[in-house]
Amino acid sequence: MEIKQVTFSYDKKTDQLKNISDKIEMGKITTIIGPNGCGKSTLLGILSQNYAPAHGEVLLDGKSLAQIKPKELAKQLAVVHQQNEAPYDLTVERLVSYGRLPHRSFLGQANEDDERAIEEALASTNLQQKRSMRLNQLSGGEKQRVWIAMALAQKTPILFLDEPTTFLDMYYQIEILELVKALNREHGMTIVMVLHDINQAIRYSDRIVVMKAGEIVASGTPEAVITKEIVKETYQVNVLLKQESDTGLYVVPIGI
Amino acid sequence: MIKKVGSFIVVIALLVAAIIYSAMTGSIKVGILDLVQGLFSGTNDQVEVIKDLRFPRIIVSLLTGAALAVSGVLLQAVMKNPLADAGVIGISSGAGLVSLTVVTIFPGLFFWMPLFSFFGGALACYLVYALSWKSGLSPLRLILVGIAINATFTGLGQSFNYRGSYAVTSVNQAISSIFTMKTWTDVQIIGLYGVVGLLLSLLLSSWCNMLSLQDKTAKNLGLRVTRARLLISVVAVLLASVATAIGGLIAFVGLLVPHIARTLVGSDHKVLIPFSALGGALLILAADTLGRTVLAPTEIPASIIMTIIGGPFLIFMLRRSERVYGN
Repeated sequence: MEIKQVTFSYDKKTDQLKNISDKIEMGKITTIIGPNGCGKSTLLGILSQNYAPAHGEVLLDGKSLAQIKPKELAKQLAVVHQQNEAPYDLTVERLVSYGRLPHRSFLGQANEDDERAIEEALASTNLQQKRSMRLNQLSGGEKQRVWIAMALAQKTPILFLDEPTTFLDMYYQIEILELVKALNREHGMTIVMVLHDINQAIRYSDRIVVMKAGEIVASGTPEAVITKEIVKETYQVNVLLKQESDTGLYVVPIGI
Repeated sequence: MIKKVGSFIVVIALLVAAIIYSAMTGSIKVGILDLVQGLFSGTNDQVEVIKDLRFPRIIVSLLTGAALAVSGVLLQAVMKNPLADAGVIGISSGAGLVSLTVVTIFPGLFFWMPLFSFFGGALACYLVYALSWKSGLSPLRLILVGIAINATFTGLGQSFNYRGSYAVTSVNQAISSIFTMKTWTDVQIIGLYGVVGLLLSLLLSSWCNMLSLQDKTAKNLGLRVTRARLLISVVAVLLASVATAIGGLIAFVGLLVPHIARTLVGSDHKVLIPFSALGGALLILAADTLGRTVLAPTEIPASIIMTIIGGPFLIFMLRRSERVYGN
């Protein structure tokens, strides 16, 4: 995917995104990081055509997102949002089956492909045992996995996750990130996600995009992008960078 | 699953019982055997009278109830608000007012009443939307704006009563929902528009399901959200308007029935819509039958019975509305 000089504003006064250009590499995990309100989620919204850019465009396989029909786009690209709503009595399996809707015609019925996609989605998110449970019977981490399962049922080559770990405790955070990694390594999915934790971003990403105030400060491999200077510039936090053989690169904040 | 199937069986059984009872009782009473025999032979005079007078009334009641209940389900899906009901938020009174105005000025257009009803209902629906939209629809603001619009249209409608013309009686009858004078022509009109509307709403059920997620999620699943909202609203207004044009102004059906239906069969619109249609049909037929038998020969209109049940129910719903659309 290619982001070409995208500018976007919610209120047409202040720009949330200022003339952004970058490339999302297919088959890789890209993580967008940056302080609150820097435009991370907005960028994800632009990339998934939830918002239309005021200037510039996003290309998917050389085609502008604006020219792709919503249903076609939903076969290319699935999104898991940070917070989700659904009727409380919906079962896991039923919600996951909604992921198949882009593949159906208006009056089409579920076929074998749909069944298989739903089974695979439930299996890879480890939800087979919970399939007939209602959403309000699940824990926060399980709920998040259900929404990921719905996105997986869409069978798209690209998956976006907006702060998938924010409301979860450490166990569920790692569980989700390991799942994301497995989807990338085993199925070759292109992943774009927004994270808050720099160390998680370093550990689980092939590429990191650092944003500040609607602009991209740096993008590239974790080792290239995460430096003392860049972290200081974007977060106004002094950090120590450590590189050890058993942990890899990691960041320790030491003051502001 | 058992609860769902059981609920369907019970509501269908009750509906059949209500239809049979309603056909048998009233100023002319016949036994069930005479009724069935008379229907097939065509020689029983009493049954012939029932066929001409009571059957249209029963069918109109059934379709009015089904249409209003399903209209409620659709509006609730579109507005993401369990309190949306065509009667409460002014769609019915808008439909009633516009069709009345047109028919009073041009009485020759009586057959086109459902069409004018539709324009009136669409106008009211648009006003409610436009005036209560503030980066989303808050349940309370929607209901307040709806009540204001309802009051305005109802007031305008009632002002017809004070024009001092003798046309008043007929006009009054047209909006006060007495099913007494229903004929087979009415059955034809509501049968055509009502059944079309009900079938369309079944087709729209998967869109309704997608709208019960967040808009952005529905969009990511490939739904054109605005277009879906518009189409579902049109069907909802069509159902409410045709019900108002033929059955009169009846509030609360679209509030009460979908709510009970949700607790019985869940919020999946593929099941909720047909179940609400059956439940609405049962409710209005029961209300109408009750209204004409309790104080016979005086009749209490179904609309009044619904207001008596519906008012307290709305308060009950307002008190628990936060819990209906949870995370």
